[in-house]
Amino acid sequence: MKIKIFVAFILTLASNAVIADDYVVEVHGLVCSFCAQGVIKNISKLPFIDQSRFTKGVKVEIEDQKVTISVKAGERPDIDGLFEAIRSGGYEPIEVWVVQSDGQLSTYVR
Amino acid sequence: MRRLLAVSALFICTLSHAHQPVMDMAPRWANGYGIQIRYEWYGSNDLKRGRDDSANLQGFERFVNTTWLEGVYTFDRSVRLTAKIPFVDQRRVVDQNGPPVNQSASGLGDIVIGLPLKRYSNHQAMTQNWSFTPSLRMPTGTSSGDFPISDGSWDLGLSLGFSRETPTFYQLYDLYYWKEGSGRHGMQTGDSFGLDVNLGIHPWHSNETNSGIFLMWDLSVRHNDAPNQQNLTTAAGADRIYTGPIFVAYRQNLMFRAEFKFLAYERVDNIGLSRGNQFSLSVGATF
Repeated sequence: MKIKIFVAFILTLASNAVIADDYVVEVHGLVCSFCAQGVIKNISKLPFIDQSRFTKGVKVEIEDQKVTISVKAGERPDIDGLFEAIRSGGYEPIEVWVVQSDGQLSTYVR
Repeated sequence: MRRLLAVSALFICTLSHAHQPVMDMAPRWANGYGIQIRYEWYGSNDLKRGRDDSANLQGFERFVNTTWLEGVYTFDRSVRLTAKIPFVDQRRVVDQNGPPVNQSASGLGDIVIGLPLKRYSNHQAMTQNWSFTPSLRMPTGTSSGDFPISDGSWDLGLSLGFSRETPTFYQLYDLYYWKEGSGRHGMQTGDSFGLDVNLGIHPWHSNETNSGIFLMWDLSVRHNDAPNQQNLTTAAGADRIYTGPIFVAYRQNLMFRAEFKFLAYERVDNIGLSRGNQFSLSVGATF
């Protein structure tokens, strides 16, 4: 029983650590994932992106016009580069949030 | 009468409309490109006199298969360059002042180059764009023989389009006009214009796999001026309205499209073969 609790605790820590490296961008006009291929392609090339998660480090949610990116541990995202990657992909980036360890979003301060 | 039938037996101007049917959606990103193979079929043995059916006692018919290789390059979202290369396989039975004659031809058709210029606007849960597309059709198809694939002319096309998309709805309107140049061997194909309307829904998609489907309904209105009497291609004067379903499925950067166009209305100049229903399948990829 103690071993199970310990494993669950470690898994929770690991899960939180991953979530803490996620950022969410509100992107206006993002309503079709087939058309958002360029956004995924451009963002995945950025050096701070952890390509091991989502689709090459990027997850597109067209219902909420949100793009979630996974950032490498210990790195901060280059927001100007991120916004340019989205604009060059054909869309309008609006705002960035950080995904907190409890899953809540907080405004990202540069 | 027979000469008239021989000249006008087979019609419609080339199938290459000014707009880009699948690639209208993508790629919209800078330096993006795409390729698509599209197979298109139409044909009929129904004889028309104006809007009325006419007895086809001699078995006249015409069937055309066209395989298009299409490419698109996006400089940025406001400027694209497209190229469409058809391979045509066509056959018909016509009247040439005697017993019905079988004719067939196959080969490269006329290449169409387009320059879609787009103005996008992105809103929270909606994106839309206006597009203006000048096009040039080059006489790369053969214009010789008794059933030429091309009339051998340089043609100019213009289209004005608008599309709007939300996570659940899609709509496209495209109005086009083709000005036909003078062809070889005295052939002169009539000008044409048309309107395409696609209305549809986006009933399912997966964020995890980046896949989904579109279900749409198409309405296509076509007018073709009558060609001159030297014209031996499939061109002929007519007005037509088609309508039918469109199914689109995509996964990652691959797209599949199937389209059936039911001929709902047709009026041909004088007497001629009906164009019949139209069916097309296409597979495309964007990069």
